[in-house]
Formats: sequence, C-alpha cells, structure tokens
Amino acid sequence: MNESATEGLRTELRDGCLTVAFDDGADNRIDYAMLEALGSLCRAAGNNPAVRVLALTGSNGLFSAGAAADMGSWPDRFAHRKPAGGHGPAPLPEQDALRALRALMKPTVAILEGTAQGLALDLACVCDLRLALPDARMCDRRVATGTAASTGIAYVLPRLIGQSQAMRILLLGETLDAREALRIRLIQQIVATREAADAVVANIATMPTRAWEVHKMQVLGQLDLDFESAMVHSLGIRQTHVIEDRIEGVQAWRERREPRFTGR
Amino acid sequence: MSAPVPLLVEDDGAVRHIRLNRPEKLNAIDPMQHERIGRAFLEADADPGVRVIVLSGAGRAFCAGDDLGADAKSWPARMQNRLVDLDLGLGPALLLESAGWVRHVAKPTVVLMHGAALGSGYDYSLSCDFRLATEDVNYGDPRMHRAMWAAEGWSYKLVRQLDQSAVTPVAYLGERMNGAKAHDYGLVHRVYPAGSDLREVARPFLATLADLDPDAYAETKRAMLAGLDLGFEAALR
Repeated sequence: MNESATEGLRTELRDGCLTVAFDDGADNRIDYAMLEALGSLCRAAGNNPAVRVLALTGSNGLFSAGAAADMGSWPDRFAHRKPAGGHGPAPLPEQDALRALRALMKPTVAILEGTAQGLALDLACVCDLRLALPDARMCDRRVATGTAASTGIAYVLPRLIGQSQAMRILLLGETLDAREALRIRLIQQIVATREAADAVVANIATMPTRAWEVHKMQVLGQLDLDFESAMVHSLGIRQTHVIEDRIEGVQAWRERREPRFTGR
Repeated sequence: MSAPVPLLVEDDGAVRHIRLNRPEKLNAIDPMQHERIGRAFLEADADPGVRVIVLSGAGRAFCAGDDLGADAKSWPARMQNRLVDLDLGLGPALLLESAGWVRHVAKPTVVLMHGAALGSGYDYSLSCDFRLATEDVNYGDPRMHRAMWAAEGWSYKLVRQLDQSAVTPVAYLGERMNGAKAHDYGLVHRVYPAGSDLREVARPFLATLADLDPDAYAETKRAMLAGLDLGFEAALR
C-alpha cells in the first residue's frame, strides 16, 4: 500500500502514518477516480494495524481547489443510480468518500495550505483535526456559483463549528484565512511549516490508537442519540471492545515513565 | 479520632456544599465514593431548604480522577447482581449512573475546580450546570494518554457543551486545560486567580443562583436538557 495507482492521488505509509496527498501537478482538483480511491484507502486503513493515523494533504503548496470541472467517468459501483434527464449527477461518489473517511475511527488529520475549497474542505471537515499553514485560505463557493452543497457537509459543519458560522461559510461563501478559521475553530491549530504539521501527525501515530477509536466511536455515534440511549451505547462499546494498550498505560503510570503503545 | 468522612456535606445558607474529602489522595474517587456523590446530589435536590448544589474538593485539588489503587470489587449491595468486567471493576458503571443523577437534578449545580480536575472529576464537571475554576487548574481527561477506558457519559455531554471541533483536542488529544483555555472553549464560566478559595470568591455567583426562582430555573433547565434530544416541533410541546 505504499504507492497508489490513482492519478492525482499520492499515498505513502511510513512509521504508522498513512499520508494521502492530492497531487495532480496543478490545483489538485478531485475527480470520481480520486474519490473512489480515497474511499477504498480509508476502508482498508481501518483494518490495517500498520496504520495509526491518516493524514490528508495537498502538494505543491496547495491543498485542493475542490471538485474537478470534469469529474471523469461515473463509477461502475453506482451505475444503477446514474441519473437520467436534465439533472446533474447526484453526489453519490462524493458522499461515499466522505462517509468512508468519517467512518475511519483511527485518527484523521487534514493539513491545509494554500487553497482548500468546496469538496476538498468537506473532506477536511470530516477529519478529527485540521491543521493549517499560515497561508491557507478556506472557502466554499458552491452556493455562490449556483450549485448545492449536498455532500453531507450541511450536517457536519453546524455540529463542528456551530450553526451561526456554518451559515456564513456554506451560504455566503466567504473566504477565511488561517487566523479567522482558527478563531471560529474551523481549524484547531496553525502550524508554521509543513514539517511542524508532520511532527503533530507523527506524535499522534504514537498514541493508543484503539483508545482513540473507542473515544471517537462514542462521540460520533452519540451525536444523534438521546442521553439514555447514549449511555447504553457507551456501555455496549465498553463491553465489546478491548484496548490492549491499557495494560501498558497503567504499567507506565505506575512506573512513572512514558508509555510505549502498540496501537492495539 | 474517628475515621475521616470521605464526603463532607455542609450548608452555607441555602447553598449545599458537597465536598470530596480525601485530600491525601487528591480526592481520587473509589467506587463507593461515586455512590456517595450521586446520593448526596439526590438528597440535596429533595431537600426544600437547598437552592444551589455545589461540588468541590478539600485540600490541594478538586479531584485527580479515579483511584486506580482502590479495591475495584467493593460496590454497593444494591448492585451486587450486576455483572461487570472484573478487571475494570464497577467504578465506571457507578460513575456513569451517578453522573447521570447529577446531570438531572432540578436545582442549579456548580462545580468548583482548583488544583486538578481530571478523569472522573472532569466527567462530573460536565454534568453540572456551571463550571468555576482557578486560573492554574489542571483540567481535562488524561485517560487517553494511559489508553484507559472513558465510557461514562462525557462523549454525550462534551459535544453538546462545545463545538465538535473542540472535542478533538479535549477528548482525543487529551489536552490539559488551564482556566483561560477552558474559558476560551466556553467550558468554564468563571475563572479566578490562582490560590483563590473558590467557596469564598464564588459566593456572589452562588448567591445569584440561590435568588433565582426555583420553579422557573427547574423548568427551563429541564426543557434545555430534554430539548437537546428533541426535534424543534416536539420541543415546543
């Protein structure tokens, strides 16, 4: 899984970190083939113990300008739901990639630089952590240019940053620089350089991955639950998931040393 | 001298102070203490003389978390038939239940956090209506750094108290917050200088709560908590 064959998407697995980079040599726009590849990578990463964190990045100083003008051929998987007539294609491949990335319970980090727009910003928003370089500019111009943003971002964004600011981004299409994005918590941290971002990711790769997964399962799984159902959900997760690293965690605490986690 | 009381219950006018009192353990909580905390809140809620319920800790810290050295297999008789993971003991199940009781009392609830407010102390804080802290408090959930279980209700509560975006540093990255940071997240309502006796400096705040109309407060709080789980039209009914 060290090299992907999909044009426009570069992947590398090193030291527990699976880096997935948009890279088409231009403005890193995303097409159907890239969405399909990204979804497959996420699903495989969930079952691959060598992956302890996924980093979604751009290249050449830019994250991605969003959806490609020509999305390429409609994926075979969705052939039975290919729209007919005057409507444009439904955003099924977009939703599916977003769903796969969001459903990856391991740590996910988006590293934003240059432009992060539209569909690319959607993908960043389903990651757990968004880091931005000082030059990052974030926006969603879909409504301003007459297309609906129906990828699932309308559910995700109000929960992420509050409805008030979500309206501003999705409906007004304002461009936010890194400082403003940090202020409204669209991103959680500004990093000075790409190396600094990589260091944050490398540190997350040493964390107890299974513990991250059971935390995340609870947060995401309980977004739509009432209180009592959420308590039952937590108990169920506690009874059906094992965190092997817990033994090392408690041992290290007793011996007053830094733990060495395997991620299991 | 008789054995120290692990949980102090004192009234200051209409304010009921429930105070963790194992200062030599930084008020680390063992299974039976969870039971005492929950019961103390239920009793305070039922006591007509009480208008505000305050949780705090005696000594250097509010609460350092669960007592990992405690006998995890001692638990209240009423739960003796509960099957639990013996490795983890009943503590987590008791915390889940008592933190639920704390959350649902009708009266105003306030937690005063100084020194440390970690792990299950952090979890209890999320069940209170208001969180007051000293500037230098060490607040958060370090359980992630020990790969420990944290499945007692914080996951429902935290994401409704602050934006999901802030859940990542607080819950997944296990960030230690000081007063200013927690205030910046909107999690802590008032921050006081390091070294303050919170029961003293919070007096005006607690007095304000004690003066509120209990029925209006209870009904609004109930509607807010219930409303979190309802659709708009259902919430209007």
